[in-house]
Amino acid sequence: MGKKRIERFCCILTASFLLLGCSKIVTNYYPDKEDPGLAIFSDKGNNLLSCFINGKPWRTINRVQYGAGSVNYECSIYKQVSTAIMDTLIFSWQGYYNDNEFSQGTISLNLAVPKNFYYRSFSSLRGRRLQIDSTTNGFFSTSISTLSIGNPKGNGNIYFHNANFDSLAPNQYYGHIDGLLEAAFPLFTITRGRFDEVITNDNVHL
Amino acid sequence: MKKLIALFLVFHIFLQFSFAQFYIEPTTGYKFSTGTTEPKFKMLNTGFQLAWKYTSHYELLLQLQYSWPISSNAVDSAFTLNPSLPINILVPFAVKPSISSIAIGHRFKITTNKSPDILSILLYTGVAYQQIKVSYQYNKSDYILLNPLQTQQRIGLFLSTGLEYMRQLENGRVFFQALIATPSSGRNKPPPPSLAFKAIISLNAGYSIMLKKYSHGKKKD
Repeated sequence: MGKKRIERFCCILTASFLLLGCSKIVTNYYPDKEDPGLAIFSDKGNNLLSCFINGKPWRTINRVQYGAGSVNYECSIYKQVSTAIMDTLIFSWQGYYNDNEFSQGTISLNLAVPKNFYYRSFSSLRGRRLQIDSTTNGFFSTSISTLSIGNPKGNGNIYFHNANFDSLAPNQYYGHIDGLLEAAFPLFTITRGRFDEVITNDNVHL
Repeated sequence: MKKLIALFLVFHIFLQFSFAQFYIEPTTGYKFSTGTTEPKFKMLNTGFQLAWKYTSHYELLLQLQYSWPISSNAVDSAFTLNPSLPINILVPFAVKPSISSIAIGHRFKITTNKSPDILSILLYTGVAYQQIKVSYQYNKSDYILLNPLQTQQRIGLFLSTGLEYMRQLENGRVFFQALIATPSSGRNKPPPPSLAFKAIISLNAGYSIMLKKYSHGKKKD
């Protein structure tokens, strides 16, 4: 009996390893020859953000889809409900400097949105260029090693070329955001930023 | 034994080439890529081929070709975050496609050799190097291009087939060809494959000049 249990356990363990081992990178990085170190600005669902931070190229981690169905996202979006007039939609990108993959951090945008902002409201961002003033309508922030000391807030601009999020089936949403961003912090700047993300229920929480 | 077979084959090929009628055929024409994508790929075709006449119904061809680019223009979009500038602008760009190729071909004549008008089926297989040059002109410091195209190269095998009409003249042969070719089988470098050749159509004209005419070792006049 004990031997059978051990065999079954080994089978399950092997199957788990096989399932987890079957991973697929669903980020497509196409270098931009005009901005060496960055990916091209695209609207094809390449699943990444890249930018210069003080002139150093920074990019998001690869989005990885595992055999078991789970996905490791580089981008997450969630809504922070508050008692104020507006709620906050937080876009967060996890990444690293191109020359140091092991030192990871995030770039975030806190964007003020109406209280009734919901899945389909993403389309209201489409084609809009927003000036983020770091006081009334939101701010940029980072958690990148030394840059995040003192939690500085940045102002800047973001342009949503595409923004949509709609239901495929009950409780199943799928969409896409892409655009450009730049931000200025007291001690550093984010420039030439471009993002192209497929979004689903798994990385959007409203 | 193997050496003997190889020697026999080389000797046989040598005999075939030596005693066959031998032509050099300069060609020129127009080449374009089919499909609905913009911009269209247009080229000026130049080259020459060597033809060995084996029988009255078959000739072996060795073709060298270069297709010169004819520039085509199209527009893309670029965007900016600078609030003092329009969000997007249209960016004109030029595309210059070119193809170099070397191919072995076969000319199967489907009309009799006695008539001065000869209709043939052509079949080529070879290696092609294709390049699509892309150049943009815009304000690169303020604007960022959406889905920029890049100059691409591709090398690989290709197939081509078509029809040829040839007229036998007193001192040579003049011919007109309509050919359709596959794109090169190689992968685009660099990705993404945003611009690519589709089926390539060539309309050529050429002249066939006889260089040698041997029969059983004696030169014919």
